[in-house]
Amino acid sequence: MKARGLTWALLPALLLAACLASVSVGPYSKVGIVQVFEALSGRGAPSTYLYILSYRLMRTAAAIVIGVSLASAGASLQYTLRNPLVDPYLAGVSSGALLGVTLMIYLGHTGFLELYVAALAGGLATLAAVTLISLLAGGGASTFLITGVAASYVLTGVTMFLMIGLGPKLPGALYWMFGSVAFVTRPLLLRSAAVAALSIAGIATLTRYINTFMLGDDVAKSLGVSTGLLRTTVFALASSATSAVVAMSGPVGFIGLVSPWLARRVYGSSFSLALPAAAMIGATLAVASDIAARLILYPSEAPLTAVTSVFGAPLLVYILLKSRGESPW
Amino acid sequence: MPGYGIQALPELRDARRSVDVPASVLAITLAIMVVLVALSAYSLSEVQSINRRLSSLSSSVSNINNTIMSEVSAKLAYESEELGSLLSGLNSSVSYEVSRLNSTIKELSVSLRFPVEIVDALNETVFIPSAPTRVVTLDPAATEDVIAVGAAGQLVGIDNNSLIYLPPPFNYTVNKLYENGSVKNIGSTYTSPSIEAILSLRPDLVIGTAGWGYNNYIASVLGQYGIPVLLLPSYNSLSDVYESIIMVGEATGHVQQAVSTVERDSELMASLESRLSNYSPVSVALVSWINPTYVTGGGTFQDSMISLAGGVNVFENSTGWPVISAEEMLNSNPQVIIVMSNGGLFNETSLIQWLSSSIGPAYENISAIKYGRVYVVEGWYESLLSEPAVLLPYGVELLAEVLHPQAFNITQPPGVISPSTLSLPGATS
Repeated sequence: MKARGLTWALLPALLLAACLASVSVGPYSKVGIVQVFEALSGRGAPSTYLYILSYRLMRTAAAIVIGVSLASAGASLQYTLRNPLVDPYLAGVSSGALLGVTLMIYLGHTGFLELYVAALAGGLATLAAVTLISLLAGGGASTFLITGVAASYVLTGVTMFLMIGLGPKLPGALYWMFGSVAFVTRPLLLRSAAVAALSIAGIATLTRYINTFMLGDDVAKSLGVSTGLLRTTVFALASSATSAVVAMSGPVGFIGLVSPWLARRVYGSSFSLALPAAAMIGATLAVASDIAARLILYPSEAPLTAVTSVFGAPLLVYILLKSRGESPW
Repeated sequence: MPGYGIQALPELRDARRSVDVPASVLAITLAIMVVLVALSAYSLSEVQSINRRLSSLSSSVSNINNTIMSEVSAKLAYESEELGSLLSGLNSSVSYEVSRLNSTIKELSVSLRFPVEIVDALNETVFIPSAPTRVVTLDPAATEDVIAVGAAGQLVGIDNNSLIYLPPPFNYTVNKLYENGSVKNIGSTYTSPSIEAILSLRPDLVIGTAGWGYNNYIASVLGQYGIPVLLLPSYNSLSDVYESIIMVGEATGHVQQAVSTVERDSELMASLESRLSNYSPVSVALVSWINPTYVTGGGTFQDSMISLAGGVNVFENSTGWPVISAEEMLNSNPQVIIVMSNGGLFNETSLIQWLSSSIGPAYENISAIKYGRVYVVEGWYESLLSEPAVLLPYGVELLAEVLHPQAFNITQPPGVISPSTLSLPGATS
C-alpha cells in the first residue's frame, strides 16, 4: 500500500480543479472564474453569462460521465483479462456500440434508450467475439490488442457503409462518429449518467471477486470463484458503461487505457484500489481533454478522441515497448 | 451473488482492509458526477423558467400589439389619406418629412408585427418575441435568404462556409460585414461549430437549413436556452426555396421584400419555362466529383433543377449523390455531361482520364463525348448549382442555356462555363 491519505486527497482535488477550469475556461473569455464565483454566490450575472455557464456545466458533467465510465470499463476489463492493453475503444467495444447506434439511426430511432440498447448489443457481441478469437489465436496480451483493433476496423467499415446509406441524414450520424460533448442535451445527459452510474456500481460490488483474477484463473477457481460467470458479468457491465457513453456522445478512445495504467502505477495493483483511482483519473482526463477540444479549433469543435489520442497512443507504444513480448502486466 | 466463492488468501484480506479509503474515493467521484449533472440540470431549469416568464410576458405584449395595430392602422390609414391630399400641393422639404414619417410608421408596424409564431421545417413552432436584432445563420443558404430579404444589418454571426462559398452579390455583403467586425464567424456547421461562440453572440434568432450538418443538434442545444431556432425546409423543390425565403422574411420582419424576391424568382422561372416549351428534354449527367465519381441522383435539388432546365437526369433512379463507375456512365449514355470544377480541381481532361483508364477507348461512344457536349462549371457559377437558395433560379437558367443553347440564341456554349464565358441575363438584371 504505497498510497496513503495525502495521495488519495490529491485525486478529488485535481478533479475539482479541472471542473472549475472547465466552467471558467472557454472561447468566450468574458465568462471566467470571477463570474463563476459570482454565479455561485447568487449575485446576478447577465443572462449571456448564465447561458454560457450553464452550457459549460453541462459539457463538464458529460465529460465526467465519459471519463468515469470509460475508466471503470477499462479497469474492470484489464483485470478480468489480466491484460493492461485493454481499452473499450481499442478492444472494439466502442466500434461495436457505434455500429449498433448507427443501425438504430438507420432504422429511424434516435431516443437514448433505443440507442443504448443497440450499443450494448453491438459492444457486448464484439467483446465476446474479440476475446474468443484472441484465445483461439494464442491468447497473449498483444494478440488481444491486435484482434480488437482488427475488429474495430471491420466494424467501422460496416458503419461507414451504413452511413453512406443514410444519405441526407449522414451529417447527423457523424455526430456519434466523432465523439464530442459539445451537443449533449439534458435528457441525453441524465439518462446516460443514470445508466453509467448503475453499471459502475455493479462493477464496484464485484471488486472482491475481480481481485482474485490477479492470482490467475486457477487460484481464482480454487477459491471458489466461478470465473466464466464473473467474466461474463464484468463484460456486460463494462459494455454497458461504454454504451452509455457511446449513445450519449459517440466513442472516445484511450481514457480506458490510460486511467487504469496511471492508477496502478500510483496506487498499487489491487483492483479495489485501481477502480476508484482510475475512475477519478478518467474523469479528470476527460474534463481536461474537453477543455482542449473546445479551444484548439475554435470556432469549430475538435472531437474528444483527437485530444485523448495525443496522450493515449504514445502510452500504448510505451507499454508495448516496455513489455518486449513478455506479459506486460 | 450466487456462484462467487468467498476467498481467504492473506493478500486478498490486505486488499479488503484497504478498501475503506478507495471505496470512499469512488463514492466521492460518483458524488461529484451526480452533483455536476444535477447542477447543470438545475442551471438549465433556471434558464428555462426565466424563458417561460419571458414568453408569457411576450404573449401579453402580443395581445396589446394586436389591439394597437388594429386601432392605429385604421386611424393611420385615414390620417395619411387626409395628409396626402393636404400635402400634395406643398413643397419638397415637407414631402421629405412626410416620407421620413412614413418610414417611421413602417418601422413601427414591423415592430408591432412581433411576436410571431412560425411553424418550421421540423414542424416545431418557433416563437420570436420581438423583431430580431441579433441574427445568426448556420449555412450559406440561410445566409443568402437573410441578405436577400434585406436583413443583412441584423446579422451578428455566420458560419464558416458562408464566408467562403457565397456567390456575388452576397459575398460582398458578407465580406464587408465580416471585415468591419459586425459579423462573427461561428465555425463550420458542417463539421462541428462552437455552441459557445453562438451563445456568446447573444442571438435572438438563429436560422439554418433543417438536416444540414449539425443544424438539428444545434437547434436542440440552443432550444434549451430559449433561443428561437428557425430550421428552413431542406431543398427538394423550388417551392421549398420560396417557402424558406418567406419564412425568413416573416422571422426577421421583412415580409414585403421576401415576397418581392420570390416574385422576381418565379417570374424568371416562368419566362424560362415558356422559352423551353418547344424543346424536347436532353439527357444529362451532373458530375460533382471525379474518381471516386459522384453524380447527382434523383430526389435532389440538382435533379429538380435539371428537369426545370429542360433536361432528364440519367441517374435519376438512384437517390442522393451516388458513386458511379465508368461503365455506368457508358451505359447511361448522356447527351450532355456537366462537371463541377470544384474550384479548378477538375476539368474535361480529368473526366476523360477517369473514363479511359477504366473502359479504354469505349468512352468515345458516350454521346456527350462524341458530340463534344462536356461542360465544366467554374467560378461562382458553381455556387449557383450547389446552393439551393435565392439564386437557384439562376442556376436553372445556367443549365437551360447549356442544355438548350438554341432557345437563347447561343450557337455553341463554351466548354468552360464561368461568369466570363457565359452570361446569365436573368441573374445580371
